[in-house]
Amino acid sequence: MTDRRFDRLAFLLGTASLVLLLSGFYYCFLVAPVEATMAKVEPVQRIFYIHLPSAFIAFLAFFIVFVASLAYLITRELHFDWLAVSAAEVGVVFCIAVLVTGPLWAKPVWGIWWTWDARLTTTLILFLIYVGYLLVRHYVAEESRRALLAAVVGIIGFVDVPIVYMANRWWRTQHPQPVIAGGESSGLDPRMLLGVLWVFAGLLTFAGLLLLQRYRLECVRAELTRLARRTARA
Amino acid sequence: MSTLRATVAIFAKDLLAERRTKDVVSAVLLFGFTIAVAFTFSFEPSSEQARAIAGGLLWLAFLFAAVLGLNRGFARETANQCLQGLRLAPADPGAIYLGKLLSNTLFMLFAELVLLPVFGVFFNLSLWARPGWMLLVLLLGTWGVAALGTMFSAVSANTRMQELMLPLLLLPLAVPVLIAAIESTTVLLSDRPLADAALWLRFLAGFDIIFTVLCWLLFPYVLEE
Amino acid sequence: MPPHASPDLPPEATSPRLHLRQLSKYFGRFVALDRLDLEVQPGELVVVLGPNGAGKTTLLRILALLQQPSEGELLFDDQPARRLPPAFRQRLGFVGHETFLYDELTVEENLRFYARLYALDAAAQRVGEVLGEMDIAPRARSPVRSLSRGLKQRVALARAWLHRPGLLLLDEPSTGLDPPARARLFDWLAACHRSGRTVILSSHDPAESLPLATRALLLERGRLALDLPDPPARLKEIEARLQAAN
Repeated sequence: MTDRRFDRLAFLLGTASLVLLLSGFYYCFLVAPVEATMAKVEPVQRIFYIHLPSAFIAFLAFFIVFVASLAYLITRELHFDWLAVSAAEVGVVFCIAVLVTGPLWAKPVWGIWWTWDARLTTTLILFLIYVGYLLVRHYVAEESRRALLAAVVGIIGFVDVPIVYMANRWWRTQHPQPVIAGGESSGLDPRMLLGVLWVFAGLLTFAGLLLLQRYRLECVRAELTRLARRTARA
Repeated sequence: MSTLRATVAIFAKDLLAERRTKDVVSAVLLFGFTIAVAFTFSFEPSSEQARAIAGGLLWLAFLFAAVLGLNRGFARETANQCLQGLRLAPADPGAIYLGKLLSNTLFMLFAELVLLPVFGVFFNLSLWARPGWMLLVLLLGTWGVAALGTMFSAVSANTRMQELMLPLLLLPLAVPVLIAAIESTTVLLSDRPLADAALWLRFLAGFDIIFTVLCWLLFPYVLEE
Repeated sequence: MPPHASPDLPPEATSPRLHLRQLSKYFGRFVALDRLDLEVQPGELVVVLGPNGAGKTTLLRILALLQQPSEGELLFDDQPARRLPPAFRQRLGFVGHETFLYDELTVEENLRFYARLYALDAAAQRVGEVLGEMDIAPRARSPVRSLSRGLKQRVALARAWLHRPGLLLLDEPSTGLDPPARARLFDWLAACHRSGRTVILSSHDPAESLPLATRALLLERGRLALDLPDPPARLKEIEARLQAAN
């Protein structure tokens, strides 16, 4: 991609996310109705509008890591490795958003900061797996080697995710459940759903912007290395 | 056929080397024992409460000890760059993984069988009420840890963090094995029906198969330079 | 070492023709090999010279299929190296800086292990042969850990020679050897060459290696600075050039 096209795409994504997020937050915080059972914890329950979309985006990002890792192993095109690292970083950021908003929401609603329910636990382990992925990258200097090792971790890590989720779900069904009021997605008011989708669209374009700029950084780095090699040759 | 042949060759080589140095078994054994002793300070060891959490303690000790054993098992291949010697050979690089997986599982299993009575004595448990099932849990759980651990010991050895990288990668990924092994061990330690453990045993078997095949396929990429 | 001369080589021992096309290898910003073009015909004995860091080791490791080039192509008998079947490695023998030996095993156990990896028939007999050829039979039962650097190097040579490859790649093979062992090493290399095999070795001592060579290459900062036939006749010229490069 040329710089011009990069710039245009970044501008589009940036504008779209700004508009969508501002309007989405306005709608969610000031317009959308309060869920009946959550009335007593009014402002806090609206965290849900950030929490749920962030979780989706984190999963989506890790899926991109998985696909890009496979693509790298098959084609050996470093562009896929750049895509993988960009998506992994974006995924980890949104994972942190999920892990921070989760307890903030849980404390007033459930009375506890953390519950070891399957979804939250899986997200935490997911976070640890991809921090490991980024650490591997950080501690391997040579680029093709780094790309290979990271791709292997990215693939195994993603295959592990549904298994972690399954293990946690089966495990928790055998243990006393924390007081969960009906589960978070049961019987969502259509206006609340609209709010979630609105913010989701905003965060998705924002994640796209981050991904694009991070990928571009890798392109610039590669170009710099190429120029440094040329200087070394001369 | 050549994969099988090379797997056996690497497995046999590891057996021979381990008989000489006892590197892996002694690491798992000594560290596992030390953890077992350390655990006894954290609560009243012979209480009813101990029985409920003994499965968890047992597998935590095995998992941490395994990290040490796996690192030492792979150190054998990195000393003198032996791994490059293996890569020169016309054998399937995946066979290196399978051979190391077999030997790691065997060494860890051996150490665990020695540690188990120690836990039994320390925590006043009857671990061998159902010996066949207990062995099966040990085998499947250890295999699962080794399947991921063998792979990631190779990944770690290629990073600048070296051995430190292994626990960071292995522990989160091994959570499903840990849960399943702890749950089935707890069932065996209590008087609950075996059916409670059956689900977890099938889960472990599935996990072992998936990750053995996946890591076998991906291992050649880890060796590439 | 008895000279090994068998004019009718088995198929796995035939030497492949070797072809490098604009081959480069980078480590980050460092250019280890820079657009090398090179062809080596079967039966050549090539000595690669050059100062430290010139790319000798990287070149040999790429030829041994241990490392992938960053750019350009490596062909064996017109086949791209990446598409060669694993069985092709049967035709390569490589000795590097490290011995690739297991310290805790004996000399014989190490060689038997590698013989199994190469799926050799009559492995025990073959191990006995190389032990004799490399003059290490008396130490066959010693753990590798207990050997001196020179003896380890001879075991490493035995390991690379187990499957009688057609292409021998040796990275400074005389490292750690005492003068008599060096003399025997070069006798053995000459015998390999006489049997029609290709030998490519790197060296930092032209006086020792060039008398045997049919071709000398000088690497300088990853570039091929010199490519000369009949090096024994041009020993002085090459030495002077190497001095300048250092």
